[in-house]
Formats: sequence, C-alpha cells, structure tokens
Amino acid sequence: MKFLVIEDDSKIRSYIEKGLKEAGHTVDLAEDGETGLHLASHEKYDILIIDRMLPKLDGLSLIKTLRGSGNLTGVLILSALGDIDDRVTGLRAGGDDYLTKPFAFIELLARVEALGKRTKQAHSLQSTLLRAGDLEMDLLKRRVRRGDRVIDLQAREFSLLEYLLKFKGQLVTRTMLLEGVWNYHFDPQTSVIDVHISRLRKKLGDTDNSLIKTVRGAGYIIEDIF
Amino acid sequence: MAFLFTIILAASAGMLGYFLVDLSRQDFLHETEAAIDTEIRMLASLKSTQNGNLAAYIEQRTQDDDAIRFRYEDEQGKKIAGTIDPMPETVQKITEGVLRFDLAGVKGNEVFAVKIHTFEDSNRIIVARNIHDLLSRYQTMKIMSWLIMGLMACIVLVSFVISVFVVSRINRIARLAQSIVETGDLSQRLKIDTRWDDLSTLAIILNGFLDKIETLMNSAREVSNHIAHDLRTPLSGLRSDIEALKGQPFSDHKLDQLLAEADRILAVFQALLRISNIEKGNTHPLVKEVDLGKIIHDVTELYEPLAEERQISLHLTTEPDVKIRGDHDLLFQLFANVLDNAIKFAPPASQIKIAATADKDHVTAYIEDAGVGIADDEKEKVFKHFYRVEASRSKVGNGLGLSLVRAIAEQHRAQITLEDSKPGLRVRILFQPYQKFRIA
Repeated sequence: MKFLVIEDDSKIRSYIEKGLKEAGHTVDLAEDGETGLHLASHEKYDILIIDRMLPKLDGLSLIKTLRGSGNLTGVLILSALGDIDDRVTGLRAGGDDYLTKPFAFIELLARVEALGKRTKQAHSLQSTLLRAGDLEMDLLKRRVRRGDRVIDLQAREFSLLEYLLKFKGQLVTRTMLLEGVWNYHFDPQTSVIDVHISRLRKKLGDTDNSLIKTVRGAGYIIEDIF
Repeated sequence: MAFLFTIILAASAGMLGYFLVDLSRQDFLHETEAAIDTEIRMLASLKSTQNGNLAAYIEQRTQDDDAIRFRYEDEQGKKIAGTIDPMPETVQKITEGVLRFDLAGVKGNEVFAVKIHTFEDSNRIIVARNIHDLLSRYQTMKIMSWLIMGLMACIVLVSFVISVFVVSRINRIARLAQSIVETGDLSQRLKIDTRWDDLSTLAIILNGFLDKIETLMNSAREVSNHIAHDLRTPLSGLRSDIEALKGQPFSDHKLDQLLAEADRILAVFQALLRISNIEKGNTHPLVKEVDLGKIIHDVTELYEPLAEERQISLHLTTEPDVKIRGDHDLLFQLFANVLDNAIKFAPPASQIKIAATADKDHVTAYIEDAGVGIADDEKEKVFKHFYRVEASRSKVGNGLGLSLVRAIAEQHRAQITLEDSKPGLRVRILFQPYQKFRIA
C-alpha cells in the first residue's frame, strides 16, 4: 500500500516511515499541512496518516478540504489530544480512524492496514461468507462450521469471530476489538479480551492456538494461509 | 477617590454656609427700607406743595394698605395724624436708620420696620411697614438651613468614615493579592472581622476562592509527587533490565519483555492523562441520553468469562429503561473498573451482584461482592491516585482505577459510596435522575 505521512515531528515521522517500509509499504512524507494537502490532492494514496497539529494548515482543516474536493482516501488521525470530544471532532471532520499519541507502532500498523482493507472492501461487494481454512462463517444464516461440525456461538462470540475473519491475515489489536465488537472505546484494566478469545478458541476446537494466533504485546491474527 | 468625594461634599456644605451668612445680613430688608423711603419722599413733596393736607393723605394710605402705618407729630411729640398711638415703649434698632416697632396687629403684636423723618418745620413723620410675615419666613428658612447644614456635616463625616473603611479594606485585599503573587504562599487568608457589609462578603468569597485554589494546587502537587515516586519504581526496573542486556545477545523475547514494561509505564501516563482530562471537565457528557441498563449489561457480559475463570457468578438485575444523561464510553469504563475490582477481590466460587434501579428521585447502580471489603479509614484513600490497599499490592493494577471511577462519577454529578455488605463491599453509585432534554 502507498502511504502519505503528514507529521511535523521528524522523530515520529521517520519512526513511522521506517516501520511502514519494513512492513513492505511505500511511504511519502510531508512536514506541514500545505505540502501535505498538495501531495494528497495530486498523488494517489491508499492511506493518509495525518497529525492533528501541523504548521501552516492544521490536520482537521486539511481533511475537510480533501473531503470537500471529493477525495475519499482513508485517513488515520494521529493526535496527542485523546479526549472523547477530540475523537468525535476528528472523526466528524472526515477521519476514518483516530489514534492517540503515544502509540505502539504495531497498533498503528494494524489500524492502517485494517483501514486499507475496509476502504477496498467498500468498493467491492461485501462477502457474506467468510472462510479460513476449514472454518466457514455464513453471515446471513448466522452459522459457523468447522469441517463438518456446526459450532454454536453466542452473539458476541459470533461478532468477535466475524471481526477477526474480516481482517484475515492482519493483526487485530485489543482496542480495535473493543471498538469494533463491543462498540465501546475504553481502556480495559485486565485481560478481559484474552479470556473471550480463549473461550472462542475452545468452542472452535482451536486447542493449539493455530487458528487464532496471539501476537505478543499486540493482539490477535487469523492467518491468511488457512 | 474617597477623599475627592469627601472634598466635594465639604465644598457644597461650605457654599450653603456662605448662603446662610449672607442671609443673616438681613439684606432682604433693603426692599422694605426703599418702600418706606418712597413713602417719605411722597409725603415730603406733598408737604412742600399743599401745606396741611398731609393728614388726609395719611388717612387715605392707611386705608388702602394694611401693611403701612403712619404717625405725624409736632416738635413736642404730639400726634397730628396717623394710627401709631401711643408710641411703643420699646424701640429697637434693626440697621442704621431703621427701627423696629412692635405694634398691635391682626395677630397680636406684629413687627414693623420704621423710619423717622424730620421736616424743615421740625414736625416728624414716622412711617412703619409690617415685616412680620417676612421675618417669620426668614426665621423658618434660617432654621431649615441650619438643619441642612447639620445633615450635610453628618454626611461628610459618615462618608469620610466609610471611605476610610472601604479604602482600608480594598487595600487589605490588594496587599494580600500582592503578597500571594510575590511569595506564592497560598495559605494566607483575609481577616474577617465583620459580616454585615458587602466587602466582608467579598472577603469571605475571596477566602473560599483561595481555599479552592489551594486544594487544587495541593492535589496537583500531590499527584506530581506520586508520579515521581510511583513511576520511579517501574522506570528503574526497566533501566536495570536494559542494563542487564548489556553485552548479551539480542533476543526478541527479551525485547518484548522490555517493550511490555515500557507499555505499562505508558499506560499509567495514559490513565493519568485521562483522569486529568475528565477532571478538567472539558467534555460535556451530560447532554446525551444513555441507557444505563444496557451499559451495565454490556459490562457484565464483557467480564462474564473472566469471572467464570474464577468460578464467580455474576447476578445482574436491571429494570427496563434505566436512562440517565452521560457519556456511553466513560460510564462503561466506570462500571468496568468497579466490576474488575470486584472480580479481583471476590473469593473464588462467590457471587457478585450487579443492579441498576430507577425511581422518581434517583437512578442507583450498585456492584456488590463478597470479598474482604474496605476498612472505614481507607474508604476515602482508595480514590486517591496510586493508592492501593494492602490486599491489592500482589495483584495487577496501577492504583488509578478508582481515581478514574471517581473522576467519571464527579463529571456525571454522581455520588459514589462504598458500603459494607457484610462480608464484602458494595459500591453504590447514585446518579442524577433523568430529566427531559434541556439545552443549557
């Protein structure tokens, strides 16, 4: 994927650049709002990573201008302002996701990759049948099968699996799950999510954690090779 | 300012005083004197032209004008014509050439201004004009003026006292503010000696203001002290772990451990930042209507598996339609933290009760566990930043969970109480009753 990172802090800029390049992506950089806007409107990017506070033109105005001109590229807002209100204004301005500084790079990567997939999916038809190896999930009939065995899942377990499968091959972090599956933005004190995952694994017969893999210190992934 | 006011008042009092002095010179009698002079001139000219005809004229004038009286007498003082008879016993002088007679009038003795003119043939004419009313009016005016003078003097005095008082108080406030600015010592307070005047009220309010600032400053200081102390431990842990890696071959596993340590420290900062943001109150959660029942249900559902791992059962009772005004995510965080604690401290195979009820006056939610509870003297402390009860030191946590709970509760104007549920702890949260939407 091709990224544009608009960030005035050179340390964070090169940190993101290095990480994204290592993950096999192409990265362009801009250090102020005006340059960023110029690049974003003249080049084709998959994802824009935009800092909120930028010299010359602030992040939110930049996004509004882009959206106003019909540019629908996925935008992740990066900001030190982490209040609920700040998030809401950020998302209302046209951002697709919001990440508060300081952040772990793995969280940023997981989010931008998910965002890239989401924007791509928005263009093609959404599949109602999700698959990973011998696991099959029918979203219309709300049925899950592994091989010949039909697995009975509770509503929340179903959405949890659905979320993981939709982003198959990608890392999904715990906060992404809380936002996407539970629909709450909050900060869990303990490993509540882990317990839900281990329960889901048990039901799926995933005894050796080979289907839903744990990425240490980051989250979970259902590998694409299945 | 105050002096200026006093000076203006004093000046107006002075002007009034001058007017009084002016009045006492009895200038008002000049007109009367002039009228008498005219009368005398008239008589003199009459006498020189029509000799002897004075008596008729005097008679005529006396009848025409009540206010005027005459006495025309010869050299020996024998009356020839006029109504002044006999001559009054006492004669006083009013001014040079003008005498005062007390003659019988309508209201008893009345005061007359009198002038005596001696003709060339040594006959005398005495002309008297009634000034009784004029004089009594002058007397009242004089009394009134003195009264006003007295009042003015009182006002000057009182205003002077008040202005000195006000100025001294304002100066006192200014001095205190100045001294706080210079020394930064917030423990200083204004002395309150009276309570009846507006300035004392102001002083009381200012003291309250200083109290609030001092508590805020102290808590900020306390928090930064805590941050310094409590974060030193994990940071020095991280430091020694990094030190231990010196000269060692790099392994991903070790790096992951270090990252996890750093993340924990970052999470503490994140939590602190969140608490301070919520305490700052720059978000306005009270405008949105949220379903508290649903939030509690979702929290319970999220924590169910965690509880199950410890064979703890969660019992949820919520009434339908328990609505309050608030922030969906923050309320979720609040109940998640409380329930998380409950699960941590409840003995295995026990029960945790979670409930939300609404009546006319309150919306109440509580979470009750069968753990060890919290001692009375610790009930306030547990809400402090980084405070951890003895039993929790062995458990995961950063001592900020309940601080966050309290911050959220305060922002929602909810009251949070820790009760003894014998055994165990009941956390009761009292929310403002739901009201129909109101735009502030």
